Amino acid sequence: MNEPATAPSTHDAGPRAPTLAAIGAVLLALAVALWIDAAGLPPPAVGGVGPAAAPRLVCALLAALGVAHLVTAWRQRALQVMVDRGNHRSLSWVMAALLGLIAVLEFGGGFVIGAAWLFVATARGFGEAIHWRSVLLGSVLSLAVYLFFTRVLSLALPSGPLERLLLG
Amino acid sequence: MGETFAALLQGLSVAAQPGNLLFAGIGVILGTLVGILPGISPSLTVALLLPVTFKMDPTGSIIMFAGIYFGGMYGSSTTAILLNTPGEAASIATAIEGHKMARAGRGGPALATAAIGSFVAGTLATVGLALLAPVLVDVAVKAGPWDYFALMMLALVTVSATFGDSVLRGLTSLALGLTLGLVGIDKLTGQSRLAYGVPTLLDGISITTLAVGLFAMGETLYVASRFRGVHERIEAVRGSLWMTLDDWRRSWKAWLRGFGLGFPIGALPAGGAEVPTLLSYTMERRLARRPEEFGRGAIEGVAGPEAANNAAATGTMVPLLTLGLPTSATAAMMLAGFQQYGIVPGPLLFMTNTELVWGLIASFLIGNLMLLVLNLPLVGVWVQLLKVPQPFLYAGILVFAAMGTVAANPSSTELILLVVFGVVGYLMRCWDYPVAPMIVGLILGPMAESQFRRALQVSLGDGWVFFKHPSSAMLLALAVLALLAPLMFRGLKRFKGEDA
Repeated sequence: MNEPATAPSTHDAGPRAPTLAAIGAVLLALAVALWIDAAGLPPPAVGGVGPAAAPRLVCALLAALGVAHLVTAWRQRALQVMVDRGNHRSLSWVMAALLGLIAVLEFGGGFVIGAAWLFVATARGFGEAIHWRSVLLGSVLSLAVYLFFTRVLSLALPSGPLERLLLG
Repeated sequence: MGETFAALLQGLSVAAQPGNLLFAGIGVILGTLVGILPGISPSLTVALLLPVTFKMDPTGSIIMFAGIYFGGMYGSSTTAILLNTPGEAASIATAIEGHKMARAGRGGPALATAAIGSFVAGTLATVGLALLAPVLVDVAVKAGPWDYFALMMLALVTVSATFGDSVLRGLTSLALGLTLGLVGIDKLTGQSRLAYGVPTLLDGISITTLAVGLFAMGETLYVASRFRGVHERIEAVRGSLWMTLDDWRRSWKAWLRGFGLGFPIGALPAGGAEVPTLLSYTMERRLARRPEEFGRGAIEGVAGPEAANNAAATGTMVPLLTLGLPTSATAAMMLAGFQQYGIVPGPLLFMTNTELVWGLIASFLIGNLMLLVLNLPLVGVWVQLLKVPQPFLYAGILVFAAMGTVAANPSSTELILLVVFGVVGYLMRCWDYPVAPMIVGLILGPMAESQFRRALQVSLGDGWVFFKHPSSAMLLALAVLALLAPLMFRGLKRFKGEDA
């Protein structure tokens, strides 16, 4: 009863067969991408190996692991286990928060607005309604971070209309 | 020997300059502040706070950095004791016994034995580091590129295969890290690899972006996906903060044994900082006069593993400083910090930048002392931090993570990379793939490649060069052994499965 909500995960180890197969496929695809990339590199100079050697080695490793994943998936194909569906609403909110930040920065909205959105939407994902409390906290935090970085550490953070309005 | 102490004294005089003392103090406080937040491990603490030290002079910022590291470790154990959420595998043992103690109203002594034990073990380990480093440097200067390559192979294998739960998943994580390490311009020939014409990718994948993405973003997404609207219960620190005479008597041997296990294992150029803490826990349970108390709040079960953890963390500085070899996620982050200031750890650093190296080693001593005098009395303040509501906690973590990335490299590509790594980290958490091998792979992969190519250049393309030298042949044989060892280490695995 007193156990915390996020105790160290006790679920069994590892993904299920279809997931394993998918990971195997991704690893094989990565291996192919590495092979194609390595093929476009120039041959080594006299003595020693060129820039293509390491990609080929990693490619072999990826391919071997990909095959190993497929083999494990095939061996476990009969295994039927309950899958924990998870909380997709919360996850979507946090993803929306992150993608929103990228969009704001990409369209020149500035760091403060983007980070405030990130804060508010993430808090929403964790059950905090979008309300003046989280909006205020998010804005103050983003502004404080912005000022600290640009004024105290003299590092550049992307600025938009709001930053120009406030700081000239 | 005499030389070492003279150098250490000189280092102490560097670290004790008022400015550097201030940096150490700020580092310790910042590290504790961030490390105490639930779900934040010491390596993430270092990753999140890396941008803060961007524009300082190298000595000062590295000293601050060491403070952040030790503060983060202390904060992490506080969270484990009061909240039962170990930020990393190394505090699992602490969480088992410490949380039980806190529930029984003995949170104060649990925190105290963790803090004092960390101090004792950390101080002893720093002395060990100071004694061992010059010896290793002498060996390291004579080592050829083939030796370095073989050593790196050994470290890569042990980090990913030997100490994890699954060889397949560990190696997969490693392979992904190695792939990311290939991205960018090849330093020897100027050829671009896997960059696909994207300017940000030409510079290679930033280790901070990967670490923050995997740890901070991945963790936040994972907790969100498991969000049930229930909050954790914090155990208040009730009763006396101080340890009784009996507590002291039961603790001091455990501290020393923890150091004895932690430092040598941490100093090995092989991965696995969790191993000594788990070994220490088992050892204390075997040796305890009242083994029945274990699992119900035995103080030895906090004292030993915490001391082992701190000693091992200091131990990993031995291969990092003398060989430039990171063997844990945190050490990889430290290396990223060094590289950011244009410092390349390794035997040469001991010759070219004596003041910095010994200043850093001495600041470990000072950082440990500061932790003890600052944090134990302030524990009430730190506990307040645990009460930050979960929505604001994770929202704040994401803002800081994004800020650090954008400040380091103001481009949306970098931010997109961060989010992609976050999703990868989330999936790896869901499917139980370890993330540390990926980070170590990203940083060690390119280093291993350059040693590999240098060795083959020297040998005029003769691949046998790695087996002709007895030292590198032996190290490679060890690496093969380490790959096969998990089969022999079934016992250790079972122990982990039982308590994790």
